[in-house]
Amino acid sequence: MGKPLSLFTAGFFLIAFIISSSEELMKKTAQYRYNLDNVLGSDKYTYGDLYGLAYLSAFKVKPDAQPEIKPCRKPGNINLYAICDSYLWFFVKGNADFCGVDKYDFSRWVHDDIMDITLDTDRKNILLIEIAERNLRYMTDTAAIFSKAVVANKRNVAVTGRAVLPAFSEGISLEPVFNPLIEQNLQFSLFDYRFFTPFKEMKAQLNYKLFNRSNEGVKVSADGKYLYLAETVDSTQVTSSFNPVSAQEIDKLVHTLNLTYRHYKLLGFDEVYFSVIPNPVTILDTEKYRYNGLIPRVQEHKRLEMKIIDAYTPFKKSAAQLYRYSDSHWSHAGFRVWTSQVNMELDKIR
Amino acid sequence: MRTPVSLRGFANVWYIRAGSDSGIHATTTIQMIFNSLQFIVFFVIVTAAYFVVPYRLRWFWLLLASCYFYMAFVPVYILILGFTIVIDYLAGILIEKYEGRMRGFLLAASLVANIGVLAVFKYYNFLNYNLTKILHLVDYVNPIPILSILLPVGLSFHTFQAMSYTIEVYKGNQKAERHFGIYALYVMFYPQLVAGPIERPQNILHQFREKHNFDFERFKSGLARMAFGFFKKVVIADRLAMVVDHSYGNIDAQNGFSLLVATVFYSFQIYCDFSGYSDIAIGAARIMGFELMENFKSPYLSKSIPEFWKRWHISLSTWFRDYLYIPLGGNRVKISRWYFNLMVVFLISGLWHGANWTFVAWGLLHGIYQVCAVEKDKFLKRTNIKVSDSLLMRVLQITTTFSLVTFAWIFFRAAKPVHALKIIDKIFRVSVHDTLNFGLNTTEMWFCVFLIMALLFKEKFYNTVSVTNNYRFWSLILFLIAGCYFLGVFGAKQFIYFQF
Repeated sequence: MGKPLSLFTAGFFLIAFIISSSEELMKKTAQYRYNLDNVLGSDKYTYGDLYGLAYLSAFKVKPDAQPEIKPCRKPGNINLYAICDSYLWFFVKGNADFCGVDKYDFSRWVHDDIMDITLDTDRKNILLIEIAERNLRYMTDTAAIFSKAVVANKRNVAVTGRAVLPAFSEGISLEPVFNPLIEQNLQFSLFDYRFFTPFKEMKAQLNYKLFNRSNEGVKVSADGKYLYLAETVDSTQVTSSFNPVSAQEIDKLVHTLNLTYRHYKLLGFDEVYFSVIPNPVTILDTEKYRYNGLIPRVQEHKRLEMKIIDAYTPFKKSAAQLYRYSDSHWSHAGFRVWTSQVNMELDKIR
Repeated sequence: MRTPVSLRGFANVWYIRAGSDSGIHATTTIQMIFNSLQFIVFFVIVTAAYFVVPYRLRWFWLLLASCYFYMAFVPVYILILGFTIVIDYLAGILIEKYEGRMRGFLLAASLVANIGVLAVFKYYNFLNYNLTKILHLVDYVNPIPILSILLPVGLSFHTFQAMSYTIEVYKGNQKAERHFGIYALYVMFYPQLVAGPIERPQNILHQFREKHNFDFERFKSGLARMAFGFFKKVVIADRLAMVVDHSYGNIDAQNGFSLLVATVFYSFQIYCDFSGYSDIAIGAARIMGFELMENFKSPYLSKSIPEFWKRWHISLSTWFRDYLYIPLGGNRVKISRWYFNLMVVFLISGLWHGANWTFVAWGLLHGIYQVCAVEKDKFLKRTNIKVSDSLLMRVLQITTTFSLVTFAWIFFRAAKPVHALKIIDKIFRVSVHDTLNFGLNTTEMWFCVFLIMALLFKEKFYNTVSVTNNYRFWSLILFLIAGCYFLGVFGAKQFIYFQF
């Protein structure tokens, strides 16, 4: 190997390695490449996040377009704060999505988000805690939940439960050198280009047709119409809609929710709402297993103090296409059904 | 400020575009195992730069790369490795310097330090657990605490390699290495650091001082070796692992036939997994100009158990032969002592693999096999029976040897001895009504069988790859890469021998 070729090879892969080790550089390249509309762009999320894992061409469908929604004209006297996951932070475009909401802010479960809030005492300050069903059973650490929103002008006397902000260690982190996500990052940097998509689809098709196997994170629904996150279907996992939940666990969850409710009420919020977004498989009911009833059992628990925005019941009744075929999220229709539930609640307190 | 990430799936993941924090990307953390993209990129960078770095600095570059490679598993464990390196480096120099009893003392000190590290990290909890069990029988609570420690990756491998250095210096077969960096590289050379082959100083140390220029034929040879290794790992071993894990993970739900098939599959899984690793290690080193020792020579084509051990994990079996079996007296002793030596070697070999009674049972079985093989040879000699060399007889011998080895693997794979006994019980009660109960469909089951047959065919007839015919060579490489990509099972599955 000539020296120039060696240098070029080492340099090229070293740059890829460095970029893939750096969170900041990956953010920038990813944002840039997701917006590219040529062969150098990425198909990872173009047709849904589950398609981006499975690459099964039968599920290569563009997400439903966002419908034209008339903004709510009701006068706003509500500041709405949300602790949420991608079910909200991707779909909510702003305060116009809600009726009577003048200001909307959020922090995400994922990422190191913390909302620094100064409560406006002339308005209703509402906190909405939203979580996907598959993550609900991990919601046991109040310290983690309490840390998502900090209120500057809090009027708490004594907080029930644990400390507002838990101590954390300032140890030396080797993460930039040994990034735990480097494998996925390298795959993105080196192989997540649109011109590789046909090869990925060919591989996926071959394995699915021959061996009835798709990406381990994904499960094709029994009726063949949907892709699900495998963890929501696999009954051995606590994220699954079919994993049995004991009464004690439900009690514990409700206790955590009550502590959370009291904590944020004491910080000064006028009301705190909780909303669980059902796993697609819970609603679509395509599999032949028995639902563990997690959502209704929590929502209807007699000791639950937290106010609920119920997505489960209207979703169960709705005949609309509430979830996307190749994505772990809801469709715009699903989102709209949910926002109408939120607006009904907000109407009551405005 | 950090958010305490205690809710699974809420880990800090950057690149999920708005709309996808499904947690699916955040859950798998992949270490730098050979079948990871991280390793391939690392290897390309290290190798390409190796030929650019000035000759006098190449040892440093390789050492740096090896440190990074090792630290990618658990960074802090580099300190343990550093400790044994310093001890053995100094021991080597001092052993060479002194004469008489002092040499023996220094060697013993070095061996105690090495074995001490092994004892603490690998055997302490095992011994303590068994002590607790024994004390429990007499209603006594064991006051010795359990240590919450992770076993450093490849500890048994690099400890044995380090020990072979001091022993060889003691025996006078190897000069003590004065260059600390070169010695550290001998222990830490990344292709064979975590799962061998367990090298001898005579073979590898001098190679670190040689100047290796890029050689295209050698590159092709190493590349082919690596490609075969990857194929064995991701296409064969990890596919068979799905069947094995499914069956051995739920023994009660399995029938005898399923367990029998799973056990046979395990024989090939562990072979493809471990020999695949060795192939990648040998190939990666060869591309840079280093020749590592062979670790496998078609072991499942052996006609007897002693022959199997000359073809399976050669670097370990020769280690035990040279540093334990022969010092114990080997076979040049009374027959009872000879049998004792065989049993000791295989029991320790079993323990070397892991601190579990299953490994002890596996070693014990192989020790018994060896004794039986000696007895068989004696019987044939005494009765003057000549074993024919017909094809049928060879097939019979190979099948018998494979069956014995496979039987022993049951103990190796089972989580507990009682599980192994349950599996054996079920296998011996196999019924014609048993149906296969695996997580794979029929096509994939037959594909597994096809892969095993293809592997044996390749080992029997095409064990070397010609690199002279460019057309054939690149076609083969393309075939292997395409095979790995399209048919590989990618789930970041560790190599089995990493746990040792």
